[in-house]
Amino acid sequence: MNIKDLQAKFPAILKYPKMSYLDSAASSLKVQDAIDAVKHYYEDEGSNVGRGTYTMEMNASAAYEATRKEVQSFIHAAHEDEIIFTKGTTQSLNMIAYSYAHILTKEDEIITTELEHHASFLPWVRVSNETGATLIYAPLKEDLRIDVDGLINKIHSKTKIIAITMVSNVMGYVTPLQAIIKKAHEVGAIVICDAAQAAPHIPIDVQRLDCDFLAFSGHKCFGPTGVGVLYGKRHLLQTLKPMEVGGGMVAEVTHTSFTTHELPLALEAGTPPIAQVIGLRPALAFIKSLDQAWVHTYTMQLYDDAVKQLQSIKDVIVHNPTSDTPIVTFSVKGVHAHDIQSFLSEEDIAVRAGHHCAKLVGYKLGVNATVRASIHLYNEKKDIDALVRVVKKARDFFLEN
Amino acid sequence: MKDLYRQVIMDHYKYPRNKGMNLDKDALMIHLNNPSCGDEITVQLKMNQGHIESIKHEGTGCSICCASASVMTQALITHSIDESLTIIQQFYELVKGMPYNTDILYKDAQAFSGVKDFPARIKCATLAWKAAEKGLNTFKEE
Repeated sequence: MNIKDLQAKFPAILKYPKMSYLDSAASSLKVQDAIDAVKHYYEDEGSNVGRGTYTMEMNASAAYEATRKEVQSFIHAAHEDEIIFTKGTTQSLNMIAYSYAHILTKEDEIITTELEHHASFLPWVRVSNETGATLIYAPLKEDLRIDVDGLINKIHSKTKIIAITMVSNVMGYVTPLQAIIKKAHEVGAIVICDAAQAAPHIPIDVQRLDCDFLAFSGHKCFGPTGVGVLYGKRHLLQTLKPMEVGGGMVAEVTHTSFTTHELPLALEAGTPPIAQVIGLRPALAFIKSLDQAWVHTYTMQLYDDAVKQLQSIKDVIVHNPTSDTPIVTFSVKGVHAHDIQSFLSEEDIAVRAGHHCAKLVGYKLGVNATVRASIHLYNEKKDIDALVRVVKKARDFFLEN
Repeated sequence: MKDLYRQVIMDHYKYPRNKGMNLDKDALMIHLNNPSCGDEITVQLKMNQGHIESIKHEGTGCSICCASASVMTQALITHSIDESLTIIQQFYELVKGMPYNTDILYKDAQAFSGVKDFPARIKCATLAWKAAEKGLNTFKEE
């Protein structure tokens, strides 16, 4: 695959040729086809979906539903109606927790990990506080990978929920989920996978994985912001108590009661993010069109280069030198992450500094802020070299010899 | 970059003034953090007849945040509550790039004028000042 041809599909790269965009884990750049689809909807359709009968509305509805099919194929779901559109991973995960807050009791246990993004575990912190259910953090290994055996040992008859990341947004580790899910199902627990960071990097097959729920966002997959996916097994989605009630999701309505539609409408109250959903289809189609093994090898070569070069700088600590995905998280001993970031920003190198919405990982690392450079297929060696050069420059500015 | 990390700022970062807490039971402690980046600062204020007798700071943060805390203590010490609140306002104007009164703002504080070009760092530069402001307003209400 030719990197220049790939880059040509990303208008932001053409617009900022000097920029080194190393912040794809926060939000990837957007692919031209996705931008075009959003624009096309606003220019040529612009109506609501699912309610009218005129041509424009039917075209919009068809485009909207075409994305559902695309998502189904992208994550290999058994049924189209197992795909619910939300405004993002955070909303998807909160919808599940909201529903289980009405079911769990103080006898129940929820297992999560300290590797989670706030969106993955905070909903369960709240559910635990509200229901009295016990929240258990599975142990991590020395390199902060999830200790799978340790987690499995915590699963027993009281376990009802396991909320777990598929790929850590700070450490880049891929969680080996299959054994965890198998054990969870033996005791009747459900497993919720945060795939926000996984979807843009590793193939997802929800049937082979046998996970119960899974969530991801469009904007990390080269697609629009404001759209996410909630996947759930049909029988489980049918039991979810809708977090929102209103238009589009009801069947019978009286003064004192209502019944809900079938899936997926029951969980998509109100006018959905139509343009964003329509823009998501070409973004996922773009990922599908790629040789994913090639992308993985290519981006991991850049990652390896970054790790090696950063480690050669005095006082730099790479926190995840054995990551499975192209995310490099590092610190410079004695220099705050934001000071490093300021130097990088000035030279058009986009990274993230802070806790990356995963404070528990920071506690484990013993630092309250790190620098994260996240790589994707539009990056090149020159981006890594620029990163390394400026990190060294910043280090030398703040520290003597 | 030189405009942000001026020599005065780096000097306060490397050799912070008034750092570390007193064991004074009468002093007021104000703790603030910057949720977006995890910077944390505690300011300790002790008043005497309406004037700041002692002001200390401690915390973790970037160079801008830590240096600014050091400068803030020097800018406010010995001043009355109202004088201090005025000085703090002038500092806020300075980092936003607005006109400020050079007569009342301690000269080391003026080194932070470069922050105006780095909007993401305004929160870092003002965190300690916000803590002091909060403490002074507490005294004012009493």
